[in-house]
Amino acid sequence: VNHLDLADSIFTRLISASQGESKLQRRVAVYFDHWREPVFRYLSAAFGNSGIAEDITQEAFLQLYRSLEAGESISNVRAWIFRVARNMALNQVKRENFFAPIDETAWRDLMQALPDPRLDPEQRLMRHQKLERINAALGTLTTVERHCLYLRAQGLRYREIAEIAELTTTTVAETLYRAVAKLAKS
Amino acid sequence: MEPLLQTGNSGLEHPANERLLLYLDGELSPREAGHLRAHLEACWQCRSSAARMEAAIAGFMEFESARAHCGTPPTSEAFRARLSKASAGASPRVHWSRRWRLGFAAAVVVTAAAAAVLLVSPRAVVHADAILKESVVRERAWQHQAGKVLHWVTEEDLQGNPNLSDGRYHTMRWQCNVEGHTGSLLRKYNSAGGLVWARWTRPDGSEIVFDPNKSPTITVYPTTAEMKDYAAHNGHPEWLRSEIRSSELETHPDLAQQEAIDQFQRNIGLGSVDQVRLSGGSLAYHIHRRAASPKMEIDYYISAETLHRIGLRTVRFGSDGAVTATENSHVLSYRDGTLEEFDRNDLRNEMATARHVTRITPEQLLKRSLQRLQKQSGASK
Repeated sequence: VNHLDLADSIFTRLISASQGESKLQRRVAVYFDHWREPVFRYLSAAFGNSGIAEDITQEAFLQLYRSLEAGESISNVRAWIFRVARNMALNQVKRENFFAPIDETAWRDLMQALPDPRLDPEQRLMRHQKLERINAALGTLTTVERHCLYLRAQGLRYREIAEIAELTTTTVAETLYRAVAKLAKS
Repeated sequence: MEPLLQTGNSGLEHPANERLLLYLDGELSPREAGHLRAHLEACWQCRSSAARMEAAIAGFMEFESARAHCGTPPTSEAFRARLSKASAGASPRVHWSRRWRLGFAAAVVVTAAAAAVLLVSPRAVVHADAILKESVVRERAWQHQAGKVLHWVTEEDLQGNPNLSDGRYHTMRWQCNVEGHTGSLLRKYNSAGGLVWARWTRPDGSEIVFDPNKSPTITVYPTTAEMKDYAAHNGHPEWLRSEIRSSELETHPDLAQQEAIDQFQRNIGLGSVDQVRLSGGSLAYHIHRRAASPKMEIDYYISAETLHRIGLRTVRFGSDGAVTATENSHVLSYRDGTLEEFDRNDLRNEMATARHVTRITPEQLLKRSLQRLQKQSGASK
């Protein structure tokens, strides 16, 4: 996310104030527009259920609204929202069996959905085999490795990941290295 | 586990692969990154290792973009509908952290000093001389503090933590960057004010961890000197090197300063940080924040010495316009015309409730790391 873009759209939203929405509501809506995608991608990948990820993404931003409304000062909204979303998802995992890795049917659907018109059948097969190897390698990751990897993939820095996942920065570095090494072997 | 240094036919000493990833991810300090870059230019072996990592990352990202086809994030409209419903139904709630709010009068003295730095409205351009004068006053004040320690405290209020009965906790951090006193303290409290977890990094690099929910025992980790001593007799396994490195980073003022600049540059979000030499010859950092509108351009100047001493982590600029600063054991938070002040507690009282102390020796730490690694390599097979 480009911070300048974010400031720009907050500014635009403030000028073109739509009726019935408070200033804070608009601000949170802007945050939502910018970070819904990465938060959702992280949740659905790390926890493996896009239905619940969708719900938790919204819940986390509602929580952001409530916290800001209550006067909390949040210095790094991005890290905050990931952490709250993660905690909510962990809560959910405890209550019901939330985590489900990609199963065979979903995998086939995924491969069907892939648009690759420029590839000939052989290239397509090779690509599918490559993605299959990566999927298999992802299956060997530990929970912590998976979380660090997906947080990193959403552009978070090591210190932010450490804060979100309650690890030390050193542990994050080691964990990410192990994850990348496993992927490199595939 | 990869050995720390591999010496090939060329006689070059190679960095561990983990450091290559840190380098690729831009997590090394400029100096370290410079060394590594020079090595990569000279060494084909490491360059191909780096390329393998990049290829693995590229493959993973390709996989992820394929996966993006299944499942879509909630739409903006759906969220806005929920948001307006939620805010219509909500009654005004009292922020629980207001318990920490202290008398305004006590804060005024500090605020008057902090105001020049902190109360920056979007249109204001703060005069560099005023800031430097202010920095000097603050630094003088710190010199008279017992132990010459500086603190950094933040406060958070979270819901949804599964480890707590009501899902809420409050984090306090304490940070000191003065040589001989460098250390940090991180504590979590539940909403009833009870200690949930604490980690104390001491000037000697040792760590004290207290997790009363899991055990009434305090765990004491070895000092940097003990680890170095151990490493000297047992070679330098990579895990130990990274432990030593991280404890040095936390307790060495020079490293901490570089880290603080890096951290600050990452945190500033908008704008840039660069070094300037002022008319009097003193070195300062010029912090320029800008947004889409020229009206939102803000310039801050802060002396290099202040940056070094406070590590800039003591002043935080929120993306919502909030500014948080710390002075001694107090944290001041200014937002929307409201000033809040928080105080810190002393961990020693909490430690007194612990019944036992467990000391972890470097050998035990090694054993644990090895067990962890074996478990992981076992699981991945």
